[in-house]
Amino acid sequence: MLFDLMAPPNCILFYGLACLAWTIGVAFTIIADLLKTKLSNRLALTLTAGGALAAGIGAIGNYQAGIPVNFTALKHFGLTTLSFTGDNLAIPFILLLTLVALASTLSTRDLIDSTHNKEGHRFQSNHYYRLILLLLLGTLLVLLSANAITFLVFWEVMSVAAASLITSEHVRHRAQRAALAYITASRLATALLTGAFLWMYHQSGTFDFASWQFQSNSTFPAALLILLAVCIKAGIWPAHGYLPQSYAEAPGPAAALISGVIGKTAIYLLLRLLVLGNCQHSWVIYIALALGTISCIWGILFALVERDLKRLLAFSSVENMGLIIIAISLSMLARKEGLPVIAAIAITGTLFHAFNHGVFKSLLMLAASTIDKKAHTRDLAQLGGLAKRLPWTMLAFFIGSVAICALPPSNGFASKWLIYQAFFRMAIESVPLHDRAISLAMLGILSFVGALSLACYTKAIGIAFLGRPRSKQAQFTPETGLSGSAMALVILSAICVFLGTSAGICLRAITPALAELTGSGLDAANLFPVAVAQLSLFGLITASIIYLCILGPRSPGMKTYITWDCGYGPLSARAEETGSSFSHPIGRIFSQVLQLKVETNITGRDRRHFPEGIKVETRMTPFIETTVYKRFIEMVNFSSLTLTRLQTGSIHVHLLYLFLTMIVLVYLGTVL
Amino acid sequence: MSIETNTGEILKNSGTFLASLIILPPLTIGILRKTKARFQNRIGAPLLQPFFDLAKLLQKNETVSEHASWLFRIAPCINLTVMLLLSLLIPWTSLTAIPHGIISADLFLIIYLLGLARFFTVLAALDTGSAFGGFGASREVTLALLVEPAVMLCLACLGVRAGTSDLSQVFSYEATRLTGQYGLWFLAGCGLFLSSLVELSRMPADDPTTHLELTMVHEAMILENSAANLALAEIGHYIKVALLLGLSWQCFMHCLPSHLLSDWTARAIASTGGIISLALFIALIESLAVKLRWTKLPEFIAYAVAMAIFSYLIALSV
Repeated sequence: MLFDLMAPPNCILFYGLACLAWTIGVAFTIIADLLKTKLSNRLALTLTAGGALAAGIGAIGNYQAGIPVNFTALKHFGLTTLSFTGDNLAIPFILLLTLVALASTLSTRDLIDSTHNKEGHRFQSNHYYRLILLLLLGTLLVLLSANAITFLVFWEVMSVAAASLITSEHVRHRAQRAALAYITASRLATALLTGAFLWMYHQSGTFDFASWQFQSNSTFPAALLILLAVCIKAGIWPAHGYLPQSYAEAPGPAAALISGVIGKTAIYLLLRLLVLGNCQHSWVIYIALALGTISCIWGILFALVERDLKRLLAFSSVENMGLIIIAISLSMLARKEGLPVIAAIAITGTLFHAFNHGVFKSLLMLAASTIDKKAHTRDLAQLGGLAKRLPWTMLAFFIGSVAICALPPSNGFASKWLIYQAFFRMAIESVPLHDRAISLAMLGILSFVGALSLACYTKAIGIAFLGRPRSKQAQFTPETGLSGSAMALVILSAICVFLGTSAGICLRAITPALAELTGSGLDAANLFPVAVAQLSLFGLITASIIYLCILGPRSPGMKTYITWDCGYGPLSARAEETGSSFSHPIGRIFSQVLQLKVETNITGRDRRHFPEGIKVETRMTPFIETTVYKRFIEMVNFSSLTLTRLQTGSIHVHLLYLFLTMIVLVYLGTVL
Repeated sequence: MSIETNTGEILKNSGTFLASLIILPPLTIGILRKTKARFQNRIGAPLLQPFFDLAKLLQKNETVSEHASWLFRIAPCINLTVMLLLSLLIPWTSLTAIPHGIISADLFLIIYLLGLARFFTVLAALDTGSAFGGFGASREVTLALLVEPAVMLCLACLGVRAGTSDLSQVFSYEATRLTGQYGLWFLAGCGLFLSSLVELSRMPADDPTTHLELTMVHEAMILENSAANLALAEIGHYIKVALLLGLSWQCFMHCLPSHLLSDWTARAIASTGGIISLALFIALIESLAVKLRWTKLPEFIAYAVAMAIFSYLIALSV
């Protein structure tokens, strides 16, 4: 009965309902602005959540139907039609959108101070809700777009809404710079995409995504442009510079959406165009592999030495996006070599990791925002001991970290295992030597990156949540009960555990998307034969037995005492390990990459044994930002200053320009 | 792989496995300590001292730091559980605890389970807010990230040559594509052994018997653990010693002429003897060599990585 309700025509109805709810919400915020009142939180959140739920139901109905549903809204829309299609590839991404949107809605009231913010400016809640609704609307329609023009329109809606959201909470210089960086990156991506789309239109004569194929040599420029645009939007090295700025400045729930879902639309585009279009250009594949690998290492190294919790998460996104790009390029490589099973494993890994990363990154973002909200700081050097003050947040952050470090039995393990397995099988197959060499070397590199992310997240938990508070700010009153944001966190972490322990079931659900992307009839569940469920059950039972038999009975006789301090009496929290000192050994090994400099200045008469003052200063000048970006920005500034001379403001000169353009166009028209 | 149907065979296998899992890890440590003591002209504690220590610790009352959270007492339980799981998965002796085909001893699963144990150990060390624990934790993750690629590459190279990522098949004594690849086995064994020295916090990387907390890695991390909590952490560590030494010894054992190891008993004796002889070798190193300075350690680990890269080159040249 319920399934009938969600059958194909109705799933369009549900998608429509979602769009309707969000559009009505946007209209309400505009009306409220006109009436100079505030839209009630409850109404705005109900519309957001209702829309998200409708989109999710639509996606499930779409999944049940198993066939793509097409819907043309307008016959004439620019050069083509305004048409949408919901196919198996879009479904996982729509479900991710629903999930993260619901979680961020649930936590909005706790994380957004709707009266005043830190600087004392009145928080414009109408503005905020309008942008969130536009962001959701844009993202859903990006995922459903059937042709290039429709895609670009909603891609722009999404990007502009995201950029404005970054500045919505704080009116300060840093947020404005972050928004500027974000909008620059989006514009660059859009420009590259437009170029690629026009090229493909020229090649194929249509704007429909479904009829674009990337096999022939003439499509190479378009494929390369798409890859570069995706890399910029996803924050792949060297275009990662805007991620840490923008994720750190966006208000909590928006940051969860931007980091969890918006970056994934870039991955979705790559899958939709290059993987579905069967791209076989080796250059595109190897460039993607190289950029992905560099971002993996680069992102996690910078995450490790980062002090700001949200910036740390953003750099770790760079790493995970790199991993996904690597997996996609491997699947294209395997397809090119005629190895459908490996291509299927890599694509399953890609889809699952994209979904998983969306879940645990938004979880970690929301947790970091909760800390920011409570302690009014995200600086790890000021935090500490939050396990006692935010127990639920701690639990969720812990599970999220286990998942992002890809440790079993979490969902991250399942998806990373698939990527490892794809490289491993590639190294076994009789493919050209360089492909085997790359695949085997990638196993080493990925394990290195895995160990780095373990270091990074043990630091994040250990410094922020464990030990003692390092400042007054971290000594706020403990949370009582399960607030909305804590509930969102707990639900997301439960999903992480569920996706990991029952990976088989979840992968089976991905099978239609896999079949669509690779054309193989493989069941995705069979690609992941590790018995995680059995092992984790066994582990859980064993650990409980050990606890109950050995530690449990001794709990009553347990003594609580101060931490060991060599007999000097309780030491202050300043004696604790800090985030910087935790990552310092690694920072020193990679000081060439990180440009990390530590200066220690000890003053006093007998400096070594009786210092009077010790000053330690660490400095890090990110290489890319200071040299590459700076040059680029200088170049842009210089050329725009030069170009302004063209625009004198005189009407005569502008008429001359018009006239000259006309002549050129007429000439071109006669010649071509 | 045919599933063994002979119940007697399974019983013999599992029984011996269980006995070696219970006896071998503490005994290895006992032998190691005794040998070091003899080198230093001391009589040394009895061989079974680790058992006595554990028994003593289990009876004592526990003291926990006032700053510790729930993680502190959960971590050793998880740690020991992971080690027990790994003892079933890693082919560290010639015995197979569970018949082939029931659970695959997947290479990536094993490496990430080791990671899970490390995750909990490191967090438990940071949990009390002790400066020593923090130092130890920071060093542990640093060493782990340098060693991890070497371990992964050594095992992956063997796996690639054998054509499977299931280590129980890679290390099986039936004829595989790896039979006769003495060079690869030897290099992988050396790489794993050097990595294990670092992973197990043994001498060139860490001095387990030093009196100075500031220089320690593993001991600094469990400085706050006491009584049963410490006992659990120690048992976990003992098992890890046996597992990793056993794994590298299995690589060396595949270098031996196969007719020497044709029957079950010979293999079982060689596996056990191998772990003990590696422990003796470590005792020899620890008596003759000094602990390296912290800043020199990456150079030592480079040897392990070099072994891994040589096996990588061999594995590629089919």
